Amino acid sequence: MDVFSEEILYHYKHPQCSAPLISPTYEATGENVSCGDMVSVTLSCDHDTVHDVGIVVSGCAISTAFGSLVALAVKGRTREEVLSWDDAHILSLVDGEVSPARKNCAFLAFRALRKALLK
Amino acid sequence: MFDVSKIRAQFPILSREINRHPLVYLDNASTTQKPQSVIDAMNDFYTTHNANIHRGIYTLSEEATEMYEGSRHAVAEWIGARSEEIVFTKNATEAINLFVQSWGDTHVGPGDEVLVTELEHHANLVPWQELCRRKSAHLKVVPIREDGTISCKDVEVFLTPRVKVLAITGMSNVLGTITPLKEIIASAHRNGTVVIVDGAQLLAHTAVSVVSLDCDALVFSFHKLFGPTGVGVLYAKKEILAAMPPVVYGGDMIEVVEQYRAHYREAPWRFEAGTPNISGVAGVIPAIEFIKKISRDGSHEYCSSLSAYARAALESIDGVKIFGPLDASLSGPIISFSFAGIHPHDIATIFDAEGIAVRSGAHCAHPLMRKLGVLATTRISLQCYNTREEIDRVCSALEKARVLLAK
Repeated sequence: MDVFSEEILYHYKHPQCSAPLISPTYEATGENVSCGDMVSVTLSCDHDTVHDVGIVVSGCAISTAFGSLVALAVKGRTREEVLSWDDAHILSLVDGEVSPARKNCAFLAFRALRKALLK
Repeated sequence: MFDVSKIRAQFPILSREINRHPLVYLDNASTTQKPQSVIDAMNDFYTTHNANIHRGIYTLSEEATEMYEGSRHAVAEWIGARSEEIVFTKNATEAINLFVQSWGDTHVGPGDEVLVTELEHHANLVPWQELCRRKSAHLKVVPIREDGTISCKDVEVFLTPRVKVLAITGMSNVLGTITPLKEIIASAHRNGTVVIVDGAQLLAHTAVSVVSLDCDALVFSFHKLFGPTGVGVLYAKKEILAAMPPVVYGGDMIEVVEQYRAHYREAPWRFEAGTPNISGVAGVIPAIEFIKKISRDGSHEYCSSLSAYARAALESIDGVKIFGPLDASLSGPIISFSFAGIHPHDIATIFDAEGIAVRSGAHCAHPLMRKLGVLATTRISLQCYNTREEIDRVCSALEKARVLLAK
């Protein structure tokens, strides 16, 4: 059984867009209270299109990898498009399943990102 | 003579495979597995005796009542109490809440102090926080030492005349720390302070006599003692219970009900409104019988020895840091650790793929986690059916975690 896919392991070890932006248009933080994992999201938008993003995760392999995957997915998208994404869309960013007990880890970054865009 | 294979044979779930590996169950501080005798007793209740208690003038109801009250008697006898000092609740948390809302609300007032320790589970902290807020009382916290222990002297520093109650665990659910209860209770009593003990972990590994301890109240839950979920116990001395008003009202707890007022039964029944978990209580006597038998055969010594083996095995792995007492005699078989900067949830996921069940997270003890300077730990907690081979599998799984996730 593959516990973590190659893709998850890659993004965990090499998180993309993981530096905070200096002058963000939007920003927010998030936490999974049950485990204490934390995320900080900074976004730079140009005419409602996400131009740049920084997602800094302090947490487990799943939350770190999904922070990286979400950051890559969001670049170049409009605010409206990103806000239309649901949980299923986030999980579809990788092949394979995330176990029920770890889904909150996968959603940590996206929930903070939504919070930032809704400010 | 303690024979682990004979013990294991009594637990049907231990023959399960998880992810194509034999199950290694190491989350016993969370809940223990159940022997066949406990499962059979619950099944037998529903199959042949099911009826409500304290109500029907018919054979089934009388049998159910006899079993229920007989179980209360067995619990009392097991911990050295009297039957009327045993209140059945749904779990240890509810037992503490009952004590706080009944005894606490009538005995703690503005300016009084409530004393707890840094080791406490949320269940023995949050109800007291709320009481102090309701009553304008002050919550004081005895800090742990560097090694996760607490001495009697550490508690005595806080024992001022204003301390009405001390709520203290007998064994930490995170670090395994055993507190010197007898000494602390005697000291608290000299100060006129009432002591309630959280025995949720302690009773799984130590024979407890409330007469010898002299605690005023004790809570525990049978699901951590090989029994069913949904059966907790509040023990309190008869004179303490007598001074406690009921907090949940309704059927079965009343003596006489008039249209605009009611008169309540004596303790413990005044605290057991409504239909209780009768089928769960049916599992209490076989659980106690199981514990008595394995204790006679040396289960406590076996668990201590296994715990020492596990600590040594974990410590020999590069990158493992164990939290809590270094001296194994100050600790029960509960071991929390961190490993190579790998998140405990990731360790638990890798363990699960190997068929190993452990707890990862904050263990319902956020303040203690902050004190330890971590967000979470991985915890293994042992019981009489665990083996050295299982500990070896944990060590192998840790090496797999290192290969996969160490940066």
